[in-house]
Amino acid sequence: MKKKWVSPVLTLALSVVLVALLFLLQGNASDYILRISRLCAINIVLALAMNLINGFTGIFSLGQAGFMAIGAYTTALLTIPAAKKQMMFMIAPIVKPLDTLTLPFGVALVLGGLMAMALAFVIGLPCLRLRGDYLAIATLGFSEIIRVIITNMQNVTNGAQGLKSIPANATVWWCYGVAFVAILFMALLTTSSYGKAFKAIREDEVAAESMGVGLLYHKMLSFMLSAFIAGVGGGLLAAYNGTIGPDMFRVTQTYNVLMIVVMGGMGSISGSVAAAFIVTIGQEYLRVLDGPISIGSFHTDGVSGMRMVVFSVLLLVVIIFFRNGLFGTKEVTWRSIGKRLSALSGHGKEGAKA
Amino acid sequence: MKRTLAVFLALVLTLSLFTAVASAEGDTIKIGVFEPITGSYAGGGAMELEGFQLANELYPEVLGKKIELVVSDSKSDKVEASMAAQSLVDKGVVAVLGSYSSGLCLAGADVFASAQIPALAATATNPMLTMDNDWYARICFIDPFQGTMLARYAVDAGYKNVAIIQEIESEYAVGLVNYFEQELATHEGFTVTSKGNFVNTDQDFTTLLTDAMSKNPDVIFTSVGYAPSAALIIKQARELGFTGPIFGGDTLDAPELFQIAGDKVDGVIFTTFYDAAQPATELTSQFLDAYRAKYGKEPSATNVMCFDAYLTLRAAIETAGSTDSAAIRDAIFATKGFVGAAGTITLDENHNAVRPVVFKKVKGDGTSEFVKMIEP
Amino acid sequence: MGVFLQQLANALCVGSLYALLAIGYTMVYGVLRLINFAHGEIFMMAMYIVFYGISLFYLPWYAGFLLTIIITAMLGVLSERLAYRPLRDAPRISVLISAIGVSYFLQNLATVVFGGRPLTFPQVALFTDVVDIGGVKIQQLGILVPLIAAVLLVLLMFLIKKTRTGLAMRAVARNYDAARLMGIDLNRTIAITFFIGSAMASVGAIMWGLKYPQISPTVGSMPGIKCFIAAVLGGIGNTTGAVLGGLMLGFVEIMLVATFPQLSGYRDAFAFVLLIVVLLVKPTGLLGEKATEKV
Repeated sequence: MKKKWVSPVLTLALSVVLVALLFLLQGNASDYILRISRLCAINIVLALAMNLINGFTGIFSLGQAGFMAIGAYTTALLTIPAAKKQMMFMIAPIVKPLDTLTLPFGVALVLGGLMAMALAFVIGLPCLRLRGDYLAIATLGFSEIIRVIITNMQNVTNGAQGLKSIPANATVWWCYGVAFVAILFMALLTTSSYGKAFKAIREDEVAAESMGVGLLYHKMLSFMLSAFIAGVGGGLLAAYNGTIGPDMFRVTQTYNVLMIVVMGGMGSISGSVAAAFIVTIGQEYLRVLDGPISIGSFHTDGVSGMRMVVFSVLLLVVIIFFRNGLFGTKEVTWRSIGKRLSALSGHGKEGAKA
Repeated sequence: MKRTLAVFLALVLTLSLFTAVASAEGDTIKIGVFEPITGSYAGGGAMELEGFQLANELYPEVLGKKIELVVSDSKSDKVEASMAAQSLVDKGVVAVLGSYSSGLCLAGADVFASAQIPALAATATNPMLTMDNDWYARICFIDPFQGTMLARYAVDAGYKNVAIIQEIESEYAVGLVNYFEQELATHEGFTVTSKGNFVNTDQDFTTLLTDAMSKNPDVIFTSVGYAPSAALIIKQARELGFTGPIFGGDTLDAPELFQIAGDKVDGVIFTTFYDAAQPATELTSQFLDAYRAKYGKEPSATNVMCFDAYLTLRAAIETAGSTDSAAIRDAIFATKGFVGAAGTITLDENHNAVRPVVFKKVKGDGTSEFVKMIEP
Repeated sequence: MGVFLQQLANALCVGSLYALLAIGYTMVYGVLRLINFAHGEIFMMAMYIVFYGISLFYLPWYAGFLLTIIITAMLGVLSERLAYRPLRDAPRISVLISAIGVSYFLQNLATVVFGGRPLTFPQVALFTDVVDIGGVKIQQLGILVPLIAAVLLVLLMFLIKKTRTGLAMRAVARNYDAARLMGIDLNRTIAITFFIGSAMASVGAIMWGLKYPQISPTVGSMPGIKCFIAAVLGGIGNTTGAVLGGLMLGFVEIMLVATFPQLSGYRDAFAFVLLIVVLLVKPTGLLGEKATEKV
């Protein structure tokens, strides 16, 4: 029987190790590697947002890109220095309080999340009553509507011109810090009674309702929290990239995050984390396929776009053969690691897990 | 099943390790090519790449070393673009050429600036790019100039009523219209009768055109991010019976215009960077012959501008005498009177090129002829 | 008045194009309860096949069109066999994601194989010549497309109502498991559904290409989404509804932009707004039937 203090102590130890790793990374790695690692962290946040609504609550929502856009634009508009903002809005001058308003990065991020959450409330009320496939298209529709509105609001978002000179606040610390908070939040949420309600809704809505789970209330909660996290993720993305534009938030953005969630396992936090790393690094790694390849004396000029073909094939393979993704709905906990270790060291009857 | 997949993946990853060090020949000077090779701007990226590669073939060396072009695909996406830019920096390029589309340039601009690597754009016309950035330059003019000249052209030709059709999601198109309108507004008696918006996935302009035509414009100004849209607008306008002139900006200078609209392009006017006939420098004929020989078709303005961008950069490296990035940057910014295939290149204090805008008219068979040139 | 008629003619043509695509969506949905996200990409592939058939193999246009319809239909069946059949017993979300995967794959494949630069769809005089009817200028296909759509619809209705295959399709749509238990060959029925749906899509693609000659790997995504909306408007699962939905969408889109030209940048958003309104007011669409779910 494990003692109660083992798990938290192990978690603390792991955290210390991770922080040390980050220090090492920050100090020694090239800018390119740092960039990839920051993007990994951002993708963790985005994947968790999507996993909350799609994986844990079983509601097929394709609206992620829209919420990301809201978060990204809010954060960008609130962190770009006033002088640059005014210079950038060349076609229509920026609307009044925004032209001089700047806020600290953390505040901007949270505000971005809150704005996304507010919108989720408005969108969720009509949409969450709809059935599975209709909900998907409706949320996709709203995501596109948000994008179109952003493109046309010249004096708030600079329209198609987009925003640039976004201060690079998304350092390794910020990215991983937010990711860590998101993981913690998700872990706490999914093991709480709310989490149980979400999973109940996912498994069987009618049964859940008859057991007293308030359907609309919990669906809205999940939807709004997911939007908040997506908004924060969008804000991080804006600070990471330095420029944003409405074309960054098309449906394909949602599909990219969906791919990560599916690969990791819908309903598994560890899965989303692992898959975020694998997919982000993988996509960069596969850049190799776009360029010239020589294996010994065999040389081919790269085929542009091969990378994305391989990626889409991978998505299909995962969804058809490994439906549950990497982790299914299971999580990596200290207990499960402990079990694996003792099975490996041959404690016979613990079970022959290959 | 899972085992075989795992083994397969491991094999793929191992194989790709062999590829990684393919270009580790120490004695080359690496120049990054930052372009959208895939995605919605793939066509533009391909044109730029053609220009760079042709120039690289004809002028492969500088300072006694071979110039190696390292291509990084921005996938027509801003997030990918910043990563592509970073990957170029990581590969140790001394300078960067590109990109098609100012939006993508902007995405890479901060990366290049913080890595202190100079970048040279051939066709990106958005003024925001060089406004605040000490490492990006361009050998083309900027939109405020182009838009203003288009308006002056309309005024000189006496087109009092202008119908505008713009691609609302293209920062270039919207910007161009903005400067056009600003200039037009300063001339008495000239008005914009209608302004229709479309997005680049639209293929049906009949509604917009019918509405525009109902207000009896003298001319239609199409500001598009990509030639095929303009081609469709022209085609449908003619089919709807619009007989007046149609003009547009430099994105119309692409083979797709004739390919898609056929003989209906007859009489369309656009602004561009150069015309094959004037002025003809010795490089122009060299470029034309080489391009026709290699690709078997007529080049577009993008091709020749990229050819010139490569040459300008090469000349800057020569002037700098070393591969020190700051020195190369200074040499680029100091370019004056450099003779390229498209004309003479001189950069001003904002590191934009001061050069004339050329007006050309398309004929029914797809060839274009020179109309006039306006100096800045 | 002339302007109005002109816009009306546009709307009829665009609406018929949407209708042709919507039919494919609705048929697949009716049988499999699947939103085939890849339908738009099947449409796109059809356009490329026509292009290469005519420009590479110099086929005369009618042969090229016919061949394309057959090849595209087979492509649809193939996609079902590879990407959807293994997931027959999986939760719905998996099949949806698989459809997204197929869509993504086809788009990227097209980019690699055909290149990113847009190509021009071959022009056939019979369709593209412009006639002048009382001041309204309309391409001949503006008359032919609605006609073709109508004829195909009648043929389809005949197939569904009067043949055994149609009966099988209706049975599967009504009750999947019961149909299986009653001995209906599910695989065959579903394959035929995809065959017909993709064939419709390819006819739509050919007509579309004649009217809007620009082909690119992403040409199918927006029409794909819009036609799904059209299918929902008319009542998903109902073929006549799909045609009605397509026409309605075409009309609303064109008329809205014609009346408020300053809002033309929001055009795509309109389709979605319309969808959401319909989903909230009458989720089963114009002609759809309410399906009760047994617990």
